[in-house]
Amino acid sequence: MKRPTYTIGSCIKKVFRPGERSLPRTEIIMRLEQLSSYLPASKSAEESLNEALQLPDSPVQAGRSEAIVELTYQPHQLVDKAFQFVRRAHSPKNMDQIMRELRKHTNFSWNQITRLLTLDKDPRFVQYEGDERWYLAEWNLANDKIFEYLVKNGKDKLSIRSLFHLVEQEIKLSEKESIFAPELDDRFIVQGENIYVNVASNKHSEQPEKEISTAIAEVASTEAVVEAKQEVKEHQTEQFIHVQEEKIMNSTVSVNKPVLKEVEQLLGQAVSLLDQRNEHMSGEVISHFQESNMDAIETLMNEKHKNEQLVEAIKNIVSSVDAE
Amino acid sequence: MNREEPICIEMRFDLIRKIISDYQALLKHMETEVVELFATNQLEAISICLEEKKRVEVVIIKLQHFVDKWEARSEMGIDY
Repeated sequence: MKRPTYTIGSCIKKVFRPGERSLPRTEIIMRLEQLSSYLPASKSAEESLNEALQLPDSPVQAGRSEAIVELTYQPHQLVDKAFQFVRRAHSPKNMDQIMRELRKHTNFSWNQITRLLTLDKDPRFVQYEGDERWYLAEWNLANDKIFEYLVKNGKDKLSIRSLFHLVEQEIKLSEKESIFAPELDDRFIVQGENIYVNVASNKHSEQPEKEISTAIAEVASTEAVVEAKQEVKEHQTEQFIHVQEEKIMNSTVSVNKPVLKEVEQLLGQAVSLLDQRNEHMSGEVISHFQESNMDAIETLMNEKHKNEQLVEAIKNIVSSVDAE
Repeated sequence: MNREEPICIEMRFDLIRKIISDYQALLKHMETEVVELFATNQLEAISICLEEKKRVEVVIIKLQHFVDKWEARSEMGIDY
């Protein structure tokens, strides 16, 4: 039974949180296990990671030691533009669409775009198996929630028009951005203006691309509204996009979450990341010792010193802020 | 082995092999020691440990070479 499944490279991208550039291998495997429902069923987390490391344009590579895996992504304004385009459209785009857009709005040539636009490496873009289009990693799939709602309420069909109301009022999807991809999911069949719950779910749904895009565009606008203020409810799609743009301008994190809390969480993550790094150093020390590489041990110890100082400083800041 | 006991010449290669494996165990032990030293920021001690490790490795190689060289010949001698 078909469910939206990330490609191997995309699974790994989802594991990295914003701002993280490298992670211990064990941490990646642990996080991959949590994502297991989106992983290809036959593969373990470790196999998936190893496979991802072998990909031709892999988003990750082994770090200074095998125990550390780091992102290969190098920032480039062209990729940033592609990101903004997909984000603004709030619907997945294939390479051709992205390239046409970039060609229109930048001075880069086709050749340059083809060479520079390696979305495979950029952690902000993800793909699902069997879909050539690029989604944003920050979007959460609403498929499960919509399916649950329909089953719970005994509904077997949903008009695309009513998705708007459903997602906003009934399912009350989080403030985070969501996307609905019924065409990747055997639980849904898209037909014209309607989405049906697929009872014989082993059937494969094949719908014309146009209809699917309409469905996604519709949900996209729905999502924008969920996050925006109530007054804009009855506006047209163009205005929804406008609202979304505003939201993007204002904040890259979710608007409704208190910033202070988010920052505290990030600091906590930073501390645990540094602690984990220090724990992993013992393995590296042994391998440097075996290679009689005293310089490497010294470098590692300097890194450890810095990490410890940083952890100490962060803890001090957090505790002094808490005390106030 | 008891120090009073005379070395049995037939056992000489086994004895050396035992010494080699003891040295290897020592190296293994040094690895744990180094991790502890690293945790307590004793870079100087790690450096001494590393020198000692290099010395032991040379001894192991020499002993191994000795065994490889002479054991084969002594067996040939017996067969002859």
